[in-house]
Amino acid sequence: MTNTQAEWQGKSESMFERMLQEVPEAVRDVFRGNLMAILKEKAKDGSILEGHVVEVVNEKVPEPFKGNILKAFSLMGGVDMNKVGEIIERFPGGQESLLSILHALQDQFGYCPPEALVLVSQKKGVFLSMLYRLVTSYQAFRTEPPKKNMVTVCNGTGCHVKGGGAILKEMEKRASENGAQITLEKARCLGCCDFSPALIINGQLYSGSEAQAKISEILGK
Amino acid sequence: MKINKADDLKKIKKEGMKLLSPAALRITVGAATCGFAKGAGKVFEALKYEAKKQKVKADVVVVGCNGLCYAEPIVEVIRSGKPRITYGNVPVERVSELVKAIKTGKLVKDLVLMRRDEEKSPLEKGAVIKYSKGKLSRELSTVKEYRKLDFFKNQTKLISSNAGTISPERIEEYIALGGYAALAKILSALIPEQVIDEVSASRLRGRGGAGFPTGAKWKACRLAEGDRKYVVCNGSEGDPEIGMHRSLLESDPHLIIEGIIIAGYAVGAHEGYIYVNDRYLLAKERIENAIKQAEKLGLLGKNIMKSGFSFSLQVKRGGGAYICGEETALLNALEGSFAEPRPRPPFPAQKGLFGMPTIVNNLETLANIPLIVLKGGKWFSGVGTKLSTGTKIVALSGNVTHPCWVEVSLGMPIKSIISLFGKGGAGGKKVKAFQAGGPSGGILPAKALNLKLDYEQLCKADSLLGSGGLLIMDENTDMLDMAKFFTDFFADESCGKCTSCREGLKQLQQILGSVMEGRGTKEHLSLIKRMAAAMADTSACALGKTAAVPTLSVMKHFPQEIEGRLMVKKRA
Repeated sequence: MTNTQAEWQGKSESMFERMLQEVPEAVRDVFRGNLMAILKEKAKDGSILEGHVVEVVNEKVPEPFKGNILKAFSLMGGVDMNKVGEIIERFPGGQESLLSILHALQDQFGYCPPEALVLVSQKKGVFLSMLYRLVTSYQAFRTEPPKKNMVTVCNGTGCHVKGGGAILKEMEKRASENGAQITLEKARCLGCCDFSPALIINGQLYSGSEAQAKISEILGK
Repeated sequence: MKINKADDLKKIKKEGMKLLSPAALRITVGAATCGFAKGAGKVFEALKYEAKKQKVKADVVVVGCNGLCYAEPIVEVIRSGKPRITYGNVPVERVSELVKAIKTGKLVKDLVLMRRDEEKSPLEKGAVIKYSKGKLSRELSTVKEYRKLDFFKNQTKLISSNAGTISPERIEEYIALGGYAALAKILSALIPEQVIDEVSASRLRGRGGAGFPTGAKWKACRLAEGDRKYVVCNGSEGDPEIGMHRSLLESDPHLIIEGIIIAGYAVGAHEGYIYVNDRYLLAKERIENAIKQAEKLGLLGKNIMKSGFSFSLQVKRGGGAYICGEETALLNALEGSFAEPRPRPPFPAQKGLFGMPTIVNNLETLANIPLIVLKGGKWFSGVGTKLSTGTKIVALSGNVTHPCWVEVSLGMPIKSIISLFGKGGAGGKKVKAFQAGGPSGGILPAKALNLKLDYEQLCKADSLLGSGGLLIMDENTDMLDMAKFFTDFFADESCGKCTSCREGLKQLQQILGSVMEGRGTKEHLSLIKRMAAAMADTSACALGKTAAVPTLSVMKHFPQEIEGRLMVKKRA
């Protein structure tokens, strides 16, 4: 069992407990016993995955409890493994489908969640280590969920010549401050060279001179 | 409806003409990435809203980019019988005023950029569309005709002539200006070998960087044996400069598609891929939409135009890696593997995607194909210089007054490109240095500005034509900082396969860092030279081979900026 799986097992079991809180107390014990048994059977080698939980809840729990449980599940910050399964099925084929799957995962969740990668590796028959290398070697993919504020600094040559380097350094400093809700990205060219040095803060374009004020504003300082 | 013969194409051409020069009004908004960044989306919505509110009946559409990136958002008005009027830098606050002026037939004088009396096309001698009929009013005659402006007068628009005019979302408009005629021609009249001969006669060379003759590449793939063959269009464009290829994809996607289908017919492939940069979401969306439209008309898919030739096309979004511009790394990325180059030979033309014969062409190369088919290779070879035929899209960025992209015939002096289109250094400052061809090109001093833009001259000067980027640096630029910037860039983008590139770049970064901090010595400089030589000798692909070129060229042309910062031994 890999590390991720082991970690995941603990996590999904606790999540399972929390989900059961959605069910009236009178029937909770019945659900717990039955579902856990089915879950253990499903996960033959002992590693219960999030996908298993969702699957079992979907199959065995009657409405209206099912809706409640699944809703609670999606609100727990866990990754909806049904969605992951759907995404994997959307791209048939072997290895050549992997980049498209990773893009779709990131579009869905904002990053490539480790638990989703585990499922991809099982379904597509590729090593998890290989997926990890893909995710980390291509710049497009994130391994952590993006923070509240998205800052994209143009790191193109045109912007660099016009002082983009200083803006980038400043932003790096601000993003590394304690509790700063900033995910910083470098772009090769934003396509607005006459605005250089350019950066995009939460979808809005700013030139370097306006950036300072804006960034202080979103940080509330 | 499916297009089966040339007559059907004519029918659609007519429909497209009606859209391009309608009886009622047509208002266009330049909406490529450059336009959207400056608020074209809001201007577009506002125009639609105001037109409805003020009861102006108009076809409000998005078009691509005409190259005047500094004047975005651009709005154009086409009214029957009147010249096409271009407004630049239109803020969303003034849309209401603009629509009011359009309604009353007046001009908003301070926003007007130019007028266009007729539409020219590289395919026809005369005008394709005559906008202006009869005598111009006095007000209109004060507005400059676009062909009198330096910016348009000095361009040779062969592949970008549609950009900014047609809507990238309407296939009819592309067909109206001669689109898919080349495809109809080859399917009805030419055998694949004849197409390849025509391309060879044009002496077209790859626009991605290396400048390999396209005809020779196609021939090798045609002759190669394999169960299947592939055409791959390289739209990776990882250069950290203005995305001129992105602009082309966003402005005229059908041109690229037509080029790919013709390439497929010529080499005997039935499947094609367009690989686009991961950030080019708008381009991807537009090209996917264009593929759907072409499929609907039977110009793509099974049995194209009832000729028996089938071709399918897919768009693949890349993962964001500069190395994917290298053709074998791109093939790896398409196969879902790591973006690292493969050893050559075998060349992709023999053994490429999924082990099958494959041609990988830059999208700008493919954009030239329809024109070569229609007007002949001989005609094409007359444009540009003897060894570098045709045109090149050039993107000007950095310290120029007007960053923009233009299409010029090869052989134009770099000095004129900067002065005519970029209007010189920003803020009137002197141009100190320039770099052509993207990050791998050498940084050249101002005295080299007399060089002409072609493969040979730039190569001789240790620079390259590359993808056509032209970065301008003014007197305030710190050249050592530039060398460090490019070294950091390559260190970021090295795939790590070859030790010399991976470790060499790390060392280069450190050495340049020490020099910048004032801890550099003469030995450091000779070490850089030796290391650069080792990297050039032992790296597998062009990235590693040329990664030290910017640093070396700075050392060669701007020695005072480095040597002046070395550590000086104190006299005893």
